[in-house]
Amino acid sequence: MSKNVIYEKLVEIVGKERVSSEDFELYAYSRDLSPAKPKLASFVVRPEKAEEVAEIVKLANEHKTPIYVRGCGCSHWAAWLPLKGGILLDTTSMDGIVAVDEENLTAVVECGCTWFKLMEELQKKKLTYLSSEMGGPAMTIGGSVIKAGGGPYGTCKFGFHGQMDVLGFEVVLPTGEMVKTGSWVMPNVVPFRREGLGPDLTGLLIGSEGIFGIITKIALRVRPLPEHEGFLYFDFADWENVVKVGDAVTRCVGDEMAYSLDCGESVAEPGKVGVRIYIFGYDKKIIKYRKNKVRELCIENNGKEGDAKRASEFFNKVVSGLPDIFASGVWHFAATGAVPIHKIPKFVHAWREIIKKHDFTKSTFGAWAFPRGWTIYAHLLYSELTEYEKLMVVSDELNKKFFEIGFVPYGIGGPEGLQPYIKRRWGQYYKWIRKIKHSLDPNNILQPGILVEGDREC
Amino acid sequence: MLIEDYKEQIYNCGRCGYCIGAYLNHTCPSRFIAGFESSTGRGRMLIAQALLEGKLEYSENLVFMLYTCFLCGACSTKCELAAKIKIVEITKAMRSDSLNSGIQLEKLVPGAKAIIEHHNIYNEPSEKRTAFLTSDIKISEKASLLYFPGCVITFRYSNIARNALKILNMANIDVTVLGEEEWCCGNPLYFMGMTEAAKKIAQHNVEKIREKGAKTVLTSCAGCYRAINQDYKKILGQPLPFNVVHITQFLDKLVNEGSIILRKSSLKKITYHDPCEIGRYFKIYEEPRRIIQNVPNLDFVEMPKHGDNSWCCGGGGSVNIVHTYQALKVGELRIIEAKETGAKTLVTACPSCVQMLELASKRKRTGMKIIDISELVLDALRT
Ligand SMILES: Cc1cc2nc3c(=O)[nH]c(=O)nc-3n(C[C@H](O)[C@H](O)[C@H](O)COP(=O)(O)OP(=O)(O)OC[C@H]3O[C@@H](n4cnc5c(N)ncnc54)[C@H](O)[C@@H]3O)c2cc1C
Ligand code: SF4
Ligand code: SF4
Repeated sequence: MSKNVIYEKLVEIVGKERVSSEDFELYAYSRDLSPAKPKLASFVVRPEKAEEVAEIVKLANEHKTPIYVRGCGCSHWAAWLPLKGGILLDTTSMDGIVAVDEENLTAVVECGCTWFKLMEELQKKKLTYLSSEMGGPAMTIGGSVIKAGGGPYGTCKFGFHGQMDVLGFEVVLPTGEMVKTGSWVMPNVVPFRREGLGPDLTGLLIGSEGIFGIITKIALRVRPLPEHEGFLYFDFADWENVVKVGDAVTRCVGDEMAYSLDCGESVAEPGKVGVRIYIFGYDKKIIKYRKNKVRELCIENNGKEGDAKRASEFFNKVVSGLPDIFASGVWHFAATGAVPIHKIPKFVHAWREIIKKHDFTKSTFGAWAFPRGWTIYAHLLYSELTEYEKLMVVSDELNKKFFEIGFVPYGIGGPEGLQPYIKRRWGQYYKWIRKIKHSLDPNNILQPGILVEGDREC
Repeated sequence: MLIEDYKEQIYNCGRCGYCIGAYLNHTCPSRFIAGFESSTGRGRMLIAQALLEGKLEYSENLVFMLYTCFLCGACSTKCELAAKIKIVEITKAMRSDSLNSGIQLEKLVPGAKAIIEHHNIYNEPSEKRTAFLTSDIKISEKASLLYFPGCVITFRYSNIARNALKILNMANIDVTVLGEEEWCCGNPLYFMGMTEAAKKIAQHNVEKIREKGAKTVLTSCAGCYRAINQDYKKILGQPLPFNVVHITQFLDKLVNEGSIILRKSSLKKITYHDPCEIGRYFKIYEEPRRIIQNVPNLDFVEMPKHGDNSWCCGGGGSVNIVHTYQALKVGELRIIEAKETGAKTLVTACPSCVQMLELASKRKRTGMKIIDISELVLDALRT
């Protein structure tokens, strides 16, 4: 089928103003946060509602044309780059806040709504959501949730998005049908509970990187705004002691002592680990108690207390945007994934060795705690014009080493993400995901080449 | 290609999307009207990379897209947190490069021609440049202060110039003008990337200002202020023999020194619109607000989008010439925001903003009065 026919049909569905196949437009949509090389779609389309998304998916099936789904495009695993061309579906025209239910403490948003926009709306009602990433103002809730995102903000207590916060989805399946998940499925029931309907199909979609369906709406748990908060900053001379603090803070599972625990060592100051802690709650006395308790813990483990402003300034800007992020170069998160609570030191040693071997001077090893684990990452800053090749070598070595030691990748993405490192290791599990993918998406329409490779090429 | 000069910055875009903002469709007016990624700072950096790598060539449609950018600077301000990329300058360089590659949008030709041939954007005769100087205004032949009204004020909003000059007269400040010798400041030519033609203009105006013996150039137009203050230095490659001051800075100083005393205002509730070219470009935010706050009992309310987060009036970047209807939509959004504050009058400090917002106000039937800050000050001096 010719390109023109697909273009015309897309125009029929969304209108002329919302489709483009201009070469410059395709370049504008050709890269994400990762160092992956540009990939070009054939069309970009901006639907405004779920029904249009469903029509586009049906059209793609009819013409066996791939669809790649993009929120604000700032994720970092080449997880939406149009590897095989086709239609790039930009969700950002669906950015509404559908409802905030103050009684049930839920919010329903369209997939292209940003966390920041939701946060501002919730604050007007003295509410907030918890668990969030540090991806800045433009990250969409759809993109964030579908990749099971989670940053240092709130994760120590609440884990990644999806562990507690996501109550259900409205989703367009890869064959174009629209379904809802969670209690939303039931007639006359609002989205307030995820479980109780057989297997957790909301969970199937979280972390799926868009290969099982296009999320159009999301129901989220919200909470009253914390009334009190406390910040602490500590320096440690080794990671062993930091691990002890992380262990103690997350030991009373469900009643973690801190809300955020974020740690980092930079190449510039080897062996020095800065730890930022955020504690919040609704009772002043409890916050005071927890803050003192965490402080005691840090001191017991040889931490040296520093200016708490270093923590408050960081956490207060996590959602709105951290400053000077590219002052020393463009970002790349290599070797990002989760490890059990006691396992950090081995990774730090590996990172130090590889960075030293290549004399890579702009890097940080970071970790943030979640209940009984850490997300660790090797943050690399580079100049695209002069350090690209070196970056790719260092990144590859770090990825290989971290997988060899044993960690769970945080995001997987495409062949220029972490996909090449997991395929061999997943064995039967990989085949299982592929089977699900084939049964849901027989034409391999949605995100082909992302997360798993498909059997049939579009 | 001029964008070569910005190569390092172009490749330092980390694609974070900060420039797009949290309100994805309401942070950048270009994205608001065009909707696609190419209308954002980030998208343009990727297009610039493709142009630099020879993968992409300029086309008429690409140039049309470049003219959805109001050069308002909202994206650059956001990028201050990320890579500090001069997105506006790079967009202008792309416009220049496209022109050098032989693509000029037809809609832009008459305006450019008028400036080059008649030295103003309206094709008016030079003699009309002094028409605003009514007999009740005192002007010296030579003075250390020169008032530069610019084309929009001279030919369409001469009341702004008269108000400004009357205030100066009331404060006994000696002032001169270029009169018939004044040429368009060249701002639209910079927007269109016509740097050679703009250079000629800069040379002429600087020479004539020098001849008048002026040490300070005062203007009420945000566009003239930016062009003379920023572009002239760059294009002429040397410092200017005079300072450039915007009327908001000047009046703020007069109020501060007690040279003029603001007594009372006949205005009801007002709001203030930050013109992009003095706001985000030069951070002139406090001065107009201080003036307003110095008017006793004046009820002032901010719009949600103000200061660095202000929303363009729709008049920037020559977009209104190429995408007239869409540019108006941008202005309409602004006037609705102003109306929603409950204000009856919108005060601003640029004739182009006055023009766009008046039009938007008429179309939206808001009934709001749009005035320049000099009118507010004169009113407070007289009442
Ligand atoms: C400065 C900075 C810091 C960052 N820090 C963090 C961090 O702490 N933690 C973290 O997790 N990430 C982080 N990121 C990465 C990024 O912010 C997140 O990945 C963010 O959640 C991506 O949102 P997005 O809208 O850009 O998603 P996109 O990049 O557009 O998409 C992400 C994935 O979701 C899919 N997708 C998007 N929308 C839908 C939908 N509606 N239905 C189905 N699939 C969809 C895409 O195909 C892709 O696979 C950071 C980024 C930056 C720039
Ligand atoms: S804010 Fe700056 S660095 Fe980030 S995407 Fe926009 S232009 Fe690039
Ligand atoms: S200058 Fe203004 S209109 Fe142009 S891209 Fe930046 S924010 Fe958008």
